[in-house]
Amino acid sequence: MVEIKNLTKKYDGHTALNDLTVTIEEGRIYGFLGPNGAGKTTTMNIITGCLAATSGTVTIDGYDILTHPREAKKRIGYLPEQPPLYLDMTPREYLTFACGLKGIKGKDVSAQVQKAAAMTQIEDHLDRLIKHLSKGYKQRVGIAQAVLGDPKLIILDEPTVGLDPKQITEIRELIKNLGRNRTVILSSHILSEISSVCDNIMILRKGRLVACDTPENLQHTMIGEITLSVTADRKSNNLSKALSSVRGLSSFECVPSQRDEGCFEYTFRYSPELDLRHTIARLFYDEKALVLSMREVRLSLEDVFLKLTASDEEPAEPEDSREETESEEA
Amino acid sequence: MGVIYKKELKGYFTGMMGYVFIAFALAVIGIYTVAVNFIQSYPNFEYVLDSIRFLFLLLIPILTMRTMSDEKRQRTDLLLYSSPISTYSIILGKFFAALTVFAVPFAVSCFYPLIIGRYGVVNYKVAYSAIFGFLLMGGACIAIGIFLSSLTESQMVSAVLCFGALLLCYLMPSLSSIMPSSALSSLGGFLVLAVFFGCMINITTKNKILSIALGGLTAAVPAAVYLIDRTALEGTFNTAMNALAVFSKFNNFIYGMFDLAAVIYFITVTLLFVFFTVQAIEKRRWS
Repeated sequence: MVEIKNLTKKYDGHTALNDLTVTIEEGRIYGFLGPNGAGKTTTMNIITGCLAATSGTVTIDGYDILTHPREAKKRIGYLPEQPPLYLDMTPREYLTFACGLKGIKGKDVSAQVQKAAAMTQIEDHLDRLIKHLSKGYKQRVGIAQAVLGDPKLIILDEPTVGLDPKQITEIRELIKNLGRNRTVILSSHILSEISSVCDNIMILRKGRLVACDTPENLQHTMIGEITLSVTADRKSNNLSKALSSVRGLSSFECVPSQRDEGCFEYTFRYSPELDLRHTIARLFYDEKALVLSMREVRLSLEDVFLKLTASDEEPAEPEDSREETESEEA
Repeated sequence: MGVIYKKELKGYFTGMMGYVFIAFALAVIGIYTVAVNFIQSYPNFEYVLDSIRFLFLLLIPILTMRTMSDEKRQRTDLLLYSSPISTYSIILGKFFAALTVFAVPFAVSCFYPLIIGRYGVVNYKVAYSAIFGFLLMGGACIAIGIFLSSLTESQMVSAVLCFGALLLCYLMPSLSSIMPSSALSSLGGFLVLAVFFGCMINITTKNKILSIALGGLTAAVPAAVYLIDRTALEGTFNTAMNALAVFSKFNNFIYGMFDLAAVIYFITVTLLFVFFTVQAIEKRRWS
């Protein structure tokens, strides 16, 4: 659907994008993720033809955005970071105007306006001035503009920024719906947003693509080992022997608990493909040890993100943001 | 182009802008018609147009100040640039919308020679060709205004720039008559112009070598001419200044002449500034 090849953009000596190469497949939702200034908006502006790249090419459905802008742009619906709204128009006038820009003519215009309005749930506000609408509705009008004419590719730059939590969930639902039969590219610096909506995550850092994969794969490849800590009330040689012989375990240790007197802290490390919680809990049970707590620590996507976007000099310390799965067993 | 034209035209009349413009222009034309044609009893409507040239300085900035600057401020320019339409159709759409609003009071004033004709002998050909020339001059000024509006995000700055540029054009005949026409002063004028030109290029392209080269070239040509044949340079700077005097090109229409050279001049200025505007926008995409 979209081929981005060796895309580089320089502003007065500062490199905003550095040799970006990505292939975007049809019918998936892609998320550009990166800290502020990573080059997300620049990339989107180049894909939509609002900005020209210093070098490199972007082709949409086989049409180069520079040499065949008309054909390429017909396939794109774009919502920039700040929705491009004419405040003294009503949404109906605005969408009708946008239809004209996109070359939609005649009877199709009102049908398309109605369809986009229904999709973004702004039908009741079509005849109020845009300047009187709330931020969430303005954003919806912007999205409605992007989906007019059923473009194959929809690009949304930070679509949920500045919205309240309810509006955010609504917009996310809307994006998921859009992604059912279209290609959607959205950007965000909020990881949870991207991971809950997107099929593919592209992480940008200082204008470079540092990762492009599904959320699950990203987590898998970046995760290293899982740490499982267990607090139990007993320690015995039999138990230690049984535990250390569990298949797949790469390390195991046991120290007296500092928090609970007379209890012991067991730490197991194993590869992320395995889930040894059942086996280990069963062993404790067989040895009549009572498990007081069990905690599995995986590298969350947030950690992956931080690890990837941290600069080379200072490796990230993803201590605070561990994703914890706790379970208690008796 | 049609889409932008319709939207812009509607934009002029959703706010006060279009109405204020038309009302003000009609009021001024009306007052001058009464004064010149009815009180002083001249049968020449073109004299009215002659006296109201100053209107351009006030009205063109109002008409063009928000054309591009407002799009930039509201970030709606991204909608236009990401749509499958060319930059030329955006600018031409905006240009013709402004020209249409500009033409409304003058379309109304087309009835005035007919009214005057009831009380005396009116040379209709002269009167209408003057109105036509006036419209073309308006087009040239609008193109200049739109260009200046594309350089900034602020309506105010754009209006002030437009007023300044038009004022300079307006005063150019008197400025050029003040300038001595000796070869040396012409050379001096061209050198100042070359420095200014080089600075402008440096500001827009931020390329020192290019700006020095182009500025140097602009300075070198008159300097070479001065060294080879001093007399050839005499009065040339005054001629160059007069070329910028947009408003005095209208004079022949008042004297009853359909000045084809002026018509071509106005159309050229219009096309040139539409071209500049498109380049200014394209340039921003590349920088």
